[in-house]
Amino acid sequence: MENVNKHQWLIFWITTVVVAFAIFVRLWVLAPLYTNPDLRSRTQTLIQATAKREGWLLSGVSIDRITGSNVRLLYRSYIRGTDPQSCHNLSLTTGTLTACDDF
Amino acid sequence: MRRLLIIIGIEGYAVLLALYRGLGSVHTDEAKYLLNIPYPHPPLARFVMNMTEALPYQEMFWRIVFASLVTQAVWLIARMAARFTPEDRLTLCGLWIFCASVLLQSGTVMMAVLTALQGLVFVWLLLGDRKLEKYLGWIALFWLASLFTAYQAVLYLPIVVAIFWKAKVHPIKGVLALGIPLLLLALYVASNPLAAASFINAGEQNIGRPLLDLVQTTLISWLWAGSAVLSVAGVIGMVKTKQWPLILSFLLVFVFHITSYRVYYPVLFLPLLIGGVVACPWVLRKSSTLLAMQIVIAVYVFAHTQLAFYETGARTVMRQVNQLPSTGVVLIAGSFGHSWQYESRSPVFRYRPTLLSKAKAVVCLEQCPGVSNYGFYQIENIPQEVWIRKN
Repeated sequence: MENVNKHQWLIFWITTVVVAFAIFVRLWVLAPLYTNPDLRSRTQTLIQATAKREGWLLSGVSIDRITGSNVRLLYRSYIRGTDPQSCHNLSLTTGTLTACDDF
Repeated sequence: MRRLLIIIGIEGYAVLLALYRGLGSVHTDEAKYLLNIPYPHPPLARFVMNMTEALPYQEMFWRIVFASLVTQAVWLIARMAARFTPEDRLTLCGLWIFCASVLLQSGTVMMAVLTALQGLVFVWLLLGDRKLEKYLGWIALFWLASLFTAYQAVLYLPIVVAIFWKAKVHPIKGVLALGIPLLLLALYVASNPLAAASFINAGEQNIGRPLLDLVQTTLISWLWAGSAVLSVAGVIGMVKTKQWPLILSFLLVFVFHITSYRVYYPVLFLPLLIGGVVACPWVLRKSSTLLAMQIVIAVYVFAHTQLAFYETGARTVMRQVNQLPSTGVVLIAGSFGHSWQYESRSPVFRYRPTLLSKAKAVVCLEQCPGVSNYGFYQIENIPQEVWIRKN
């Protein structure tokens, strides 16, 4: 126990670095939304419209990637047991939703 | 042997409190944590809870765990009151065990309960006479864990600052140990748009209500938290001894209630009230009267609480829907909470007529046009309008 106590600050700093890394990875994915207000507003409108059309609950939608004029969305149906998940590409120009090829 | 018997007795009490909360059904926020739905709180506690999803009685398991943690926290309180007379120590423990927020909130699977317990640990560290210098790394880690359990832990920031101040840590190290977890929390919110949206929503929900009304609600919440007796004694204690960290945290919790009141937030006052009494044992000078009053109020509170078994529509409906042999999704028309998802074994979608081809059942909490024309029949003797696909 004394040995572990000696390294308590190291454990704290390592934990913060790991948490920071995980958060920065997420922020990196979302960076275009923070740097481009038009893209942010368009993405928000289209995701809300798509969720409404598809009957999705917004709490199950997450942005996986933003590439050019597409947003790759993951939709997870939270239930008891294994949650079914689906992947979709949402075109930011036409608003059409297509299934991911590589999911 | 006597201690073991007390532990068992308290555990029995905890199980009763958990069973009481489990009489009904899972609350929408509880379902959100049990299913690990990623908002509004950071993921630490809900991730741990979600790992037990396979347990058939997951909800009751966590109710018992939460109630046990809250009631057995009485040992920490007894330790905080080590310098008290045995009578005063027993009174302080009784004030905790029998206060309304412990009675009615300890069996809920809510983050506010965990945050209050974390607050109690911080109060213990602040008011104890331990040499904190040896444990500051662990305290910083606990601070990080508290913030990543629920963002309300930030309300106890003045106490954590005082702990680091008391331990005479190097100022830069102290600022980093306290500031980096806060910065990470802010970045987490920024990286999770849904959490950010619900964060803003919670802050704005009381806009438009008269200030006097909000202050009144908050005052009732504070009185309710400690069943009036502990509430008043705690505040007198912290003011009389000028415990500024406790007073500042109390004000933060008070303002937080005003801006974002929810029925499950009163418990956040509780560790601060205990801290007030521990800091000023003088408030317990009529200890037997205080404990008697607390017990009378506890009996009154419990006597006026509904003990009937009531089941929400979500559980009743989904029990029937889950028994259907057919596959497909469940469509729900109208506003519904996460408890519907928790009770369901099939994916839940909002009702759209275009999705009827994929549905095995439709729940109409409001009008759902087109169902009857699409090969569904309505089931009877159920509180909600529920349609099942004809085979």
